[in-house]
Amino acid sequence: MDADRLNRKYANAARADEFGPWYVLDNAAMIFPVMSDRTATYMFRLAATLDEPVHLPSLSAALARIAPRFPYYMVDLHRGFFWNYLQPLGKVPVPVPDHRYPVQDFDVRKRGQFPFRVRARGSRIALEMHHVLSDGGGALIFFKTLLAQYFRNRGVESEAAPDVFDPDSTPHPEEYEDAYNRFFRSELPVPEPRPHAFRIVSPLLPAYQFRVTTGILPVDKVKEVSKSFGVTVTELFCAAIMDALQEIRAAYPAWMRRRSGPMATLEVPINMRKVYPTRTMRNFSLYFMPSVDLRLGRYDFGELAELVHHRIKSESPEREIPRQIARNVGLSRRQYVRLLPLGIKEIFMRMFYNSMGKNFLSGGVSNLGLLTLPEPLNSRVTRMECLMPPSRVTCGNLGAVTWGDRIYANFGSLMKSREVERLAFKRLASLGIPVRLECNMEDPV
Amino acid sequence: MNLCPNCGVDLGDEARSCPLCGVRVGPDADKPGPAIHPLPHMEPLFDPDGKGNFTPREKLFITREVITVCMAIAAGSAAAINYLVSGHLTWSLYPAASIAFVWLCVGFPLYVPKRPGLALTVAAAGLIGYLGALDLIDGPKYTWFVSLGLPLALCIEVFGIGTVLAVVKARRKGLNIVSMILFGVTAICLSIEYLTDRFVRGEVLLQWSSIVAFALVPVGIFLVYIHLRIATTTSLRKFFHV
Repeated sequence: MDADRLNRKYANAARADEFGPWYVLDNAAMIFPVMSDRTATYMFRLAATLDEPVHLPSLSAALARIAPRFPYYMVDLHRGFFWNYLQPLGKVPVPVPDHRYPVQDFDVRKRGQFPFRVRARGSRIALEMHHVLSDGGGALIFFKTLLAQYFRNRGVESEAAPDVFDPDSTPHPEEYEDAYNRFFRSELPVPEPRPHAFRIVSPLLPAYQFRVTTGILPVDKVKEVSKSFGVTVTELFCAAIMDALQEIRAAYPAWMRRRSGPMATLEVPINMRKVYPTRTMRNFSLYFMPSVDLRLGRYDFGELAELVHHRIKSESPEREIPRQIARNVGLSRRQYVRLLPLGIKEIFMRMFYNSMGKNFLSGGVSNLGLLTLPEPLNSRVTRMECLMPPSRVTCGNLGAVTWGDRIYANFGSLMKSREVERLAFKRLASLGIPVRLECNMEDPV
Repeated sequence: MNLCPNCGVDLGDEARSCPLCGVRVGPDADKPGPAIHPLPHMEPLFDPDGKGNFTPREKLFITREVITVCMAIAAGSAAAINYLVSGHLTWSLYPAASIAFVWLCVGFPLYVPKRPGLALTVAAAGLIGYLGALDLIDGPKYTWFVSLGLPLALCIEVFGIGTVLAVVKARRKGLNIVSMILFGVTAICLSIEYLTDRFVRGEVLLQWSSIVAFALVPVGIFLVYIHLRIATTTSLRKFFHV
């Protein structure tokens, strides 16, 4: 079988038998059921604040109306002998109340439960989605479609938009596909291992508590500062977090510095749908990993920004980043891996994730950029936010969204220490950017 | 700047030809004939992919020829040594028979790649022939083949092929496959001990094979039960997808 046909065979994630349809997990999703628990849930969140309190019956009706358009999300997770799989649930999701601590207390393995939830409180609607289903790219389309339908139910019609699906349309077959397998190239070398990353040492918050620190920044000022350093907004945020990490590391005693990893490495997701032609609604993100070696002395901020800029530029999405697909897909296609029972496979997945993923990261920056909704919905939403999945080992996890003339930058943390947020926002403020802060816990930064 | 039109490198003002490709440059560019002989087209000395340029058909041909020739050399060498030392063939008949049997199991299937049934039949017949040949090499007449070797070979083949067929033909594949294999192994063990007891002692006293049966049969039955329960509610294709 030639490579293209083999790739398409593996990419076909939608299967069916006499019991009905079921779905194979995409290549990135395989690891998430193993690594997630009720606190480190691997859920990310998109939230929109409306100009009026949420009308719950309209939201429930909107969710029920769009559910058939997204059959690949209306599933629950099942455990197979060799792999996990997704099975349609045959029911419609209903909104649940939002909570002070988002993306917490969720077990993706629980039967009969959607791996996402739509939450509402006051004038805010939020979508919390587990990475086993999709990444930000797929979730954003689902969320925008939900908002458009909600407003339609409220009597506000909107213009058609490519990233807002018509609830009556039929899902394209490509929406189900595992694009990692489709665009796998076996001839590529796998990425080289990286040195361990520096991570702060801090006790964790009590179980199910998750601190969200939101910085609200004027977009024009942030762009002006970014431009002055010759970097993008994402790179500016990366540099601010790295600056915070180097400050923290410098304050550690020598023995702690010796024991900690030497690199400040951040994970910056890229939406690979912009690189490869696919309509997949499953996971299809890979990562830039800009890093600086903190052992080499203190960097000034301009130097950090420049380093991050060049590191990101050097990792071309067309050439360097597909090597991550070659590593992940290549491993999962090996016969001895496929034939290992799931229980044994999970042990190796943990080891793989710890050695190849978790240990290399100090944090992450996910900047969704400027979000818009079709007119006239833009004016009905006052604020849009995103939140990266919680992690027990990394602290500098920043999710940023530009909505209107503001950037909403959310730091999420399971750690008691607020030093990364504090120092990163302090640095941004010192550059002349007015930063307004909010926090979901007492005694904000 | 004196640029090579082929290589794009700057050759310096004094150069008259490119040391890389030999093409004339500068004032002599129009003159015929290279100043330096152009480098011949270099064929790769080895296959960089390490895969060769063989088609699957050619690979199959080479594999079966190599196996056949190697086995023929091994059998011929043993026979030649035996003949040179003793003046006639004695011990070399054992490796010759063994090599012939292995060839039937490994080499012959490569000659009939699209007919696995024929290959399996020949291997099954080969086992019987192999045991018969060993008995004949031992002495002028059959001593153990008819009463032990043939029934043993037939039992192993019947139960083995029966298990394979049951597995292949099973409409739903799941834990029932494991139980079929367990039942097949049990039947083979019981028949081996039955036949060897009858041949060696003249009476049948099932000992080790009964322990095997007590261990495997309940597990097999339990798996069948689980299979039937799961099969009515769950898709096994989904549960066991690889």
